Amino acid sequence: MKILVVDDSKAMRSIVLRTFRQAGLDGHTFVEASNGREALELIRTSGPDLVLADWNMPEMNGITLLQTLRAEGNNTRLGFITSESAAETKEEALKSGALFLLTKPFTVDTFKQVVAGHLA
Amino acid sequence: MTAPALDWAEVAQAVSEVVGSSVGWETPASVARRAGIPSDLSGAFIPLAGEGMAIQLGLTGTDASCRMLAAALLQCSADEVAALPLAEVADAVCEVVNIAAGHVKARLVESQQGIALGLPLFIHGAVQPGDRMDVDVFDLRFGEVPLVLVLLHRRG
Repeated sequence: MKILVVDDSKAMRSIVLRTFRQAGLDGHTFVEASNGREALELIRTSGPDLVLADWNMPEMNGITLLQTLRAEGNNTRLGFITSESAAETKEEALKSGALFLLTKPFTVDTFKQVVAGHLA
Repeated sequence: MTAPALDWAEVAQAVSEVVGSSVGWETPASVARRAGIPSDLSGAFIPLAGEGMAIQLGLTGTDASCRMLAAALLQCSADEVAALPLAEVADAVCEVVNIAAGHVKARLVESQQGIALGLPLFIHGAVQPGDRMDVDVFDLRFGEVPLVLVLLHRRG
């Protein structure tokens, strides 16, 4: 699968990639973007199979990215990996079409439990 | 709407727990209130704002402490720690403060809706709170890594 990891923190992007390895979820191709706008262009042009996006980012945040995609009729699968953990945020994410909202910090086990099922 | 009353010592305790679990430090931090903001600090600040409330949450320390925090988050070896570029240290510390603030926000929204989390900023030097800001400062010690939590919040 081609997986797009979107986060304005390079550290967090590397942690997501590292957690894939630690969870034994190998064999995927990763692309990275540092904000929603950059991600939107990559999704339009290179069509990843799955997007893992942060919520709070400069230029364009994660929820705007998701809502923009859906408004364009683009149903690329997207899950949030974010420090936002409030119930209202999770509700907005799922209502907008997100697969899940995984709160940071996360363990390798939690990551695997949440993400693995969406890698088929 | 008035801002929710917060027990800042309780917030500091919660932040210390989130910081520890974010970077894999299993030993709980000691948390102690201190007087005043260190005059020469490095660290990341992030705003939390809503109706009638504004908070700046800062996680600061010496350059060495920030480097140790970044190294722990990135799971760097001892050799790699020293070689980490400053930008990567700043990025990592910003990410840790972002995670901590997300948990503070989750506590706040239990009593007040519409609170927004901003983007973190890494600074070096002194912080001068405005006239209408109150300040609570705590020493957080994770083993040999001392950090200072700075909580600036609007008065009234």
